[in-house]
Amino acid sequence: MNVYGKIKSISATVALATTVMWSSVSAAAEQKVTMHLDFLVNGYHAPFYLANEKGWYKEAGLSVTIRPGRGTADSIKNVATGQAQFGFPDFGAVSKAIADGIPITAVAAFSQTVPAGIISFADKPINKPKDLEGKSIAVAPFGATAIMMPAFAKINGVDMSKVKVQTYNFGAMVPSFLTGKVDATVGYVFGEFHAAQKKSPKRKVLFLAMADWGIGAYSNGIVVNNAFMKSNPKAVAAFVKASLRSLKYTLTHLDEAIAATAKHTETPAATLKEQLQLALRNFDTPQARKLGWGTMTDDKWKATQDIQVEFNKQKKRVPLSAIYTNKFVK
Amino acid sequence: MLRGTFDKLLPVAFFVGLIVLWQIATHVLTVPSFLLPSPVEIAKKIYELFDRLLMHTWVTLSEVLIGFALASIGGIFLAVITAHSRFLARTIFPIMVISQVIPTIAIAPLLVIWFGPGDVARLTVVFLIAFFPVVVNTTAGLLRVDEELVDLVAGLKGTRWKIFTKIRMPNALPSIFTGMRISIALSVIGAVVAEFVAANAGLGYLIFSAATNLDTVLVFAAVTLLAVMGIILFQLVLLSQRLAIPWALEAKEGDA
Repeated sequence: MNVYGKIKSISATVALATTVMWSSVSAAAEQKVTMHLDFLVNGYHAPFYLANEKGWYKEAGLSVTIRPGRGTADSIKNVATGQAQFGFPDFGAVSKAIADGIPITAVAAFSQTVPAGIISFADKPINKPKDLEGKSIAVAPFGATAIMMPAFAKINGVDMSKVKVQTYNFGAMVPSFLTGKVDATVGYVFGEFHAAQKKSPKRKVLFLAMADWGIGAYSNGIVVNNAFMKSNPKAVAAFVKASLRSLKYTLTHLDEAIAATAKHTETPAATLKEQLQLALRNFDTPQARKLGWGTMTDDKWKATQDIQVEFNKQKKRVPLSAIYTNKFVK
Repeated sequence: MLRGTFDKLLPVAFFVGLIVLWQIATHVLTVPSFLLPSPVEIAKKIYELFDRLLMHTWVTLSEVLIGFALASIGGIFLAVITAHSRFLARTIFPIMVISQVIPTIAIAPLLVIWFGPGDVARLTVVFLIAFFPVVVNTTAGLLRVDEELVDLVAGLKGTRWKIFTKIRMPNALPSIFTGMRISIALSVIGAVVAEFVAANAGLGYLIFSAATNLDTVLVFAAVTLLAVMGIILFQLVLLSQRLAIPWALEAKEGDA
């Protein structure tokens, strides 16, 4: 072979080798996505941390960064602006956000029922909604519980003029309840109720679940940025499926899930486990088991949207097909 | 001589006395620890979680130091250019004032949306909270120069640059350091505000997270470390002032 021929064959070999190396490198590189949680790391976030720990996201071709958030609004904002591809907000807020034109879609429900409720002492109990009358209760200035309270009252015929409602900032609700400044407080089962229980070893603390008294809305679930969903449907399906797989596994492997989560927070593992166990009341429901994890229904979404329209100033109703899709859950 | 020792020991003794009183009060009044933990509980928590707390302290400290450096350099720069240009003074200065009037804690979430929840947003928060005292004090220092001295140097064919570097800046140094003393304290606050809004590590984040869990002992532990950090940094700025401009006569601030 002459010199020219040699150069041609060498360059061809080099080109081929580079292509092979480059494609294997690209194939090995996972797609980077971010999940922006609704709040700081809590036991109920375990499925996501477990999925990372077990490598299930990696298997699905994803490199997932899980970021603790600062509230449902923060989670929605981050997904809307594309700072994160996925979020984990309360679906009630999602309904309102979509009605306001925010470009997100719900793709999997985790918390099938609202974990909000009324927290009271056993010696001054609120065992049914009407027990609220004649008592004082601490409520939050905004957030899911603030909206659930009037909905809960209306559905159950509680005369709110007979209830002394005190607005406290989030950090003060449980302390004001524990020190007796109010008879009760609203809160989440794995948040305020759990904290109140722990700080009240001598007096028993009760939880009246709003989900048991007519509140049929969804709570937290996975949402995705619409643009990302359009351009990366495979990645969305991969993330949703891996997360749901992890949720299923978590139900029977709590300690493993908690161990994976505890690495990412200062909250002790025992506390995280208690939070997760309480949250599973809302995650692990007969409906979820029957329909399949993550699957959403028109009925529940209608109930979710109804509450937002009536009690949270959602301006217009949005067709449910614009709010959620089950196509990634299948 | 005895008077000097007494003066130095008094703040320490008073502080220790307050701590003892606090410990006794939480005991006698049986205050639950989620409301007000006792000093002993706080000390125990710091000891238990020392390694983790050290890590968080380091995270916050780096935000404070970098933010403070940006605030100081930026503040001095802004003061210098607005002092030398009427145009800049009339355009930039009002904007700086507005940046102080709008509460940074309200702007912080916006910064996170624009820059993402990373260092840029956090350092911008620290900068916004800490730069203004440096600007104001540096400006005051630059303008407080003896104009006769400036005229003399100008008359001797001194250039504007020479006047600036040999007369105005050295003259302004005491004021600049005053601004920096205020700014270092604000930098700590700024770092905490930034972490409240967008961080997953640091003492500010820890306070936010612990408060959510009603772990008031941990809140106080983090606050204690912040206070220690703040005091040490303040003293360091004071020390660097004494080293840089020992000739500046300043009234002693309570022997600090």
